[in-house]
Amino acid sequence: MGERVRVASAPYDMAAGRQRKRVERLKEYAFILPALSLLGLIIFFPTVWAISLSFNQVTLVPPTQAFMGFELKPVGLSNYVEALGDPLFWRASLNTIIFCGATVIGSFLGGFLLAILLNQEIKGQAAWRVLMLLPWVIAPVVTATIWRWMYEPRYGVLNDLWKRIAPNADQILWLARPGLAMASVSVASIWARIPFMVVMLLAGLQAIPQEQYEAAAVDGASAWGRFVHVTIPHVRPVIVVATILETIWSFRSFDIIQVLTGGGPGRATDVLSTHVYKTSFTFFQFGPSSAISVLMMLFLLIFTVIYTRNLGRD
Amino acid sequence: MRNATKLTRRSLLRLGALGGVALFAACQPKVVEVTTVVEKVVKETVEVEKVVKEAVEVEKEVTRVVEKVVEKAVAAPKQKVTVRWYDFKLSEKPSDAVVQGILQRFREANPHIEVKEESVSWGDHLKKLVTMVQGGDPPDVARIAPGDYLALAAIGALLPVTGLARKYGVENIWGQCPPSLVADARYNNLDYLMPDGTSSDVGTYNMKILREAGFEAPPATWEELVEFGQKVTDPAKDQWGWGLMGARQQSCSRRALQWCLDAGAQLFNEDGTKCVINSAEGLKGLKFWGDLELEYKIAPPGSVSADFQSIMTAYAQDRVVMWEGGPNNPKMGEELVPGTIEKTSLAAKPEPWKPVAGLNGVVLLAQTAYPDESFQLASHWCSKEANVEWCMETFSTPARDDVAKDDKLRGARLLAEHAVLMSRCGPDPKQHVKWPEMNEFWSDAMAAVLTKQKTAARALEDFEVESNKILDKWVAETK
Repeated sequence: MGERVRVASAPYDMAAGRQRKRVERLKEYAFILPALSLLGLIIFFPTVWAISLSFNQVTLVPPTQAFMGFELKPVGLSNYVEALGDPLFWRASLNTIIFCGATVIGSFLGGFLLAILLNQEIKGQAAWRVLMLLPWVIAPVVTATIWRWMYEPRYGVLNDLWKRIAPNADQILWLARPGLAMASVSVASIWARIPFMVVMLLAGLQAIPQEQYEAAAVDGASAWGRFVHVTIPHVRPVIVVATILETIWSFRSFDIIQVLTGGGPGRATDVLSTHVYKTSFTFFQFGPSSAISVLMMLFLLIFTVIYTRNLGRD
Repeated sequence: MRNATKLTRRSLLRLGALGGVALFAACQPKVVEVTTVVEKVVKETVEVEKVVKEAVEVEKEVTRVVEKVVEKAVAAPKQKVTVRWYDFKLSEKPSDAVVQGILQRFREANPHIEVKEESVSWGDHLKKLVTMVQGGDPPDVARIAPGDYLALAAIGALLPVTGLARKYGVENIWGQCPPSLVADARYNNLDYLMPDGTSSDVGTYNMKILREAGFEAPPATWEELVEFGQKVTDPAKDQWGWGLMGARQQSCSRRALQWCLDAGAQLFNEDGTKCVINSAEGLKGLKFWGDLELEYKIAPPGSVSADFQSIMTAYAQDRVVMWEGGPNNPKMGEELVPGTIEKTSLAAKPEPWKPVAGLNGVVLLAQTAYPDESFQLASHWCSKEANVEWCMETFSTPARDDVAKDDKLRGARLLAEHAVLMSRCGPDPKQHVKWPEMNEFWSDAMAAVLTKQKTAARALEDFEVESNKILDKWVAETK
């Protein structure tokens, strides 16, 4: 009675344990296999295929004669040399940087301002927040079509307003003047991208503890001081993520520009994505266009790494 | 044949019998014996005739059975196939309705062939077609714009139709078309395009406004064009003398290039391996074209963005008084503003003018699983009856001589005016495998001139340099 009974346990079987772990690991892989397969099909395969094309001279043939109708002849780096030696590539690169910069800066500033406003206690706050999402839910092609009509010299609402302000002035050719065309396209893009910034930055603002503001106010900080020393540091990680994502999306933006101007007038709004499109589907030069696509991907990878390290560290 | 056999056997038997009898009779002294023999022969003849009759009856029966089998075979449904018809749309109602009508009649005549239609907008049709070809899912028959089929033939996307035309006995289609245009449309000496029309841009004039301005006839020279244009241009009323198209579209770039050709420039050298447009004549043409907006101010500002649709609309609305197009263009304008055809006169463009023409038509895609059925559809579309209907409804210029002379088309004034001018047309130098690529740089040149980013001289020079890079690469790859 009261004796502790020791039950002899079987000695631990290491091999069986390893086997169990292996089975568990296989089960884990089995669960993620469908998703991995899909990712492989829609991301890895096209990426690898594009990289492969960039090192080949591609001739279009009927699909029965070659895989996907592409007859390949290895040419090493000559597609890259050709792309980098093409003035149109550098022109498109410059336009891309301008367009990307304008869109990111414009959408960030506009989004931050709206996020700050929406973070206040205002009447109909929920309704305003929903309304703010509208540009984001409209398809980019529809957005571009709407803006195209707004920019129309004869019937567009913008020129109508302009005529009311300056009845004797000439109509403004928003999409026909090279410098103005890039600005017009950027404005349309900013309008479409602002909601994303609002959503991200509003979430960041709402995560800031109120006590921080109260403490800063007690310490005598002005509104600007509270903004710089409380708001910005807390929202910084969100700003990093949002601007990286926005940069990537703007860098490869195609639909808005293609519908609004097609890269014109001339090449004034021709960015890398429209340049790739023309090279592929007008000139049928899939080798050089793949090389440009790979260069775009490398640039974005390097940018993301540098940006994340530098800003994320702080 | 059966009756002949019957007659022949009986006749032969009878003759043979009679001859035998006669011979026998001649050889036999006794009548009684002859009579017996004759009776015997007659009896045998009757028996033979009976056998022959039976054989004939058997033959009749066999024939009846065979006919029934054949009848059943003919009545049995052929394997149903689906042929995909790919088309581009310039406009909505009339061409759509007439296409529907032509295709429906084909369906009724060929119940075993289902025609599935796909149509895209004019601007996208070549890119989409190439994508479909490369994706392994092209249509079977495609209506194609002039010049585009050469690029498709060069990548092996099209099926030559010469053999099929011979098989179905429709070679006369090409025989009805101008030989120079047919020759121009060949690739590697093979026919790929079955012609359903031809296109050439001529002067399109709003005679109502011109007469109001005091002009009884269209301008005859470039100088008169400027004079007339400046007289009718009124920016306050948004009315402009000339509809200039500067957008990045094939329908715009070919019109701009035409001014250079009119001035006497050549686009290619003799063997098509070099671009030689950078000449005094080429510069004269391109500069004059740009100056219509920039210096003479008779074209609407912002023409660099003006595409075919916008100018056609402006013409229908009397905001543009003169431009260049085919008879189908005012017809399309009629849909927008009734009365467009009535006010329009098609006449020669101002001199110097060296018009060119090219064939429109349908092609068969090389990957089609049903070449015979596809060809039947294509040749139905290009048949005289269908072509007359198509040209009449859409005011498209016929390529075939027999269609052009049809009584139904004679009543169409615009077609008649255009037909007279077509006789001046020469072959189109843009019928070149590399023109679609060069066209991109030509559009750049046009935009550079209209936006004053480059002078016409510089734009032309750069275009020639870029074009020759493309051509040199092409020559190196194909040699």
